[in-house]
Amino acid sequence: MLSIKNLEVKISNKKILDQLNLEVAKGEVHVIMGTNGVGKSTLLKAISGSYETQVKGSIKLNNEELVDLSPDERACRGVFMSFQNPIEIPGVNSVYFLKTALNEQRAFANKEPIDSIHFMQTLQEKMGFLDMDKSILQRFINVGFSGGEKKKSEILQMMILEPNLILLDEIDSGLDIDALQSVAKGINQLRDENRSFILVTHYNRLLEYVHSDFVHILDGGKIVKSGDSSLAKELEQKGYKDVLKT
Amino acid sequence: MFSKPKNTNVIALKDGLITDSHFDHNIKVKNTTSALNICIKGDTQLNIYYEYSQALQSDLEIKVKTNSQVGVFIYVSNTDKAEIDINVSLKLEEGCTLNFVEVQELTQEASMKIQKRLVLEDRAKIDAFSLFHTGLDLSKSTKVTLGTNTSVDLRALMLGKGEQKRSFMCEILHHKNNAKSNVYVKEVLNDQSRGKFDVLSTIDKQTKNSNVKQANHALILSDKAKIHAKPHMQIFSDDLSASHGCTVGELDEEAIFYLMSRGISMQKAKQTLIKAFVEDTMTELDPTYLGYVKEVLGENYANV
Repeated sequence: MLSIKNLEVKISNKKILDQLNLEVAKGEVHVIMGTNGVGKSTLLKAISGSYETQVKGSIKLNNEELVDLSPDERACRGVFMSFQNPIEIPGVNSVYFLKTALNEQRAFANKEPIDSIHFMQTLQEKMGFLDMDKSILQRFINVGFSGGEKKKSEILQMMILEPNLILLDEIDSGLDIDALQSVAKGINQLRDENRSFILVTHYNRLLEYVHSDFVHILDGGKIVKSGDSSLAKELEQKGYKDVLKT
Repeated sequence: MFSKPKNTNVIALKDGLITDSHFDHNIKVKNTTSALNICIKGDTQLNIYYEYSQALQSDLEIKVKTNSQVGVFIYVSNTDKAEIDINVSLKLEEGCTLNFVEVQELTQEASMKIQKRLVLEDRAKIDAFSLFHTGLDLSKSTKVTLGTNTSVDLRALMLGKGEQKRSFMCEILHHKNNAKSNVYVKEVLNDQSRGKFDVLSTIDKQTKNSNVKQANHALILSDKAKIHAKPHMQIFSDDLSASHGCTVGELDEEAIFYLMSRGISMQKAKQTLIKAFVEDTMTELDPTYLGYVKEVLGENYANV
């Protein structure tokens, strides 16, 4: 599904990723771990098309090159990134935003726009599933949301848009146990054989709820070690220095 | 093009002369070639449509009688290159309330100057909204004199592109007690367009419990667009609450990326953010007038 080859990424002319390679097959969950500042978020931003990133190399989704596509073109092809710190956008209603985004993606797929009644039913059902406060529907995007509400809102967007390649940037940071379980429930509900995930995290705790297929350690701009979910547990016990020595 | 609503009080003028009018008994009108005098009482609304085919100066005088609740909507259009000059005098008698909305649909070369004199007697209140979005050079200057226990809320939205110029000037005099003034203006400027905000509020020495606010926020969409903002106050009294300020900024690139990352095109993302920026200038509008303003605006403001 996702094939990254010789990826070099700079931000403000500073090289963050260098000759990075990663293959993600359909249905797989990959976890990226690494110390602060090694480029985990940069990798997700590069895949999703952030204008912050200057990219060389190849990022192919289902054999289609993404590097020259704009962020919206990538989203319409099924790429979704949840933000580590979702931005507040005053004046833009959350429901309007989500419905517009969904209809843009449906238009790209030559589907009719969703009608408001059906959309609201789906939205309320998903919000109930994530145990979300429905009052956020009246608010502007992320404005006045708590940290947990912002993260749940990202998961809600993911569930509504039903993307193929899901990039979650520290979706577990700042969450209490109940919120973490809700987020994990949202992720697990969307898992299937055609949908792939890349999770960036610092902790093993999300992986206690979401089964991962591969764990990769990012260091020096490259993936330096890969393993199964036991690697995350080992990291938590020993730390990066010791694990990378072996 | 604005579709003029029926079933409402209307005065339509072409080059200063009334071409159509129908209004109820609450409205009295006198018209000469260059002047229109209107006296309104009770609870009513009036739409005034100005159309110009030549350079012309017009005087409009509106008197709102004691304890009336009135809405006035002014729509200005032109059919040829025109330099329009309108002097507006609004006199609000004791205890009355006026909702005043002015919009225009002008040709690309047209220019318009509006000089407004606004006098509020005791306990009078005005909520005014001005839209500047078409025509080459639009300028508005307002002088406001406030009586005791009065309130004036002046809001404007100024949109500019190409070589367009937009200018909002205002002088507000607080010389009686318990008067409240609020000036709230936003600009969205693209290309080489120019915006000007120059507001002076003067609070006389003997006044008590004045409430004075000025705010100007400009969104600049091009390196060559410019805003000149000058919010200022002359305060001679110690008994007041006052604030003034301005901001100038660009569209937030992070916000654009956030919207695009969900599948929304760059153009639509920018339009969405521009709409979000300007909409709070219209939040206080009466729903009927909000409908008129949005119809006049169409999608234009998002495509500045």
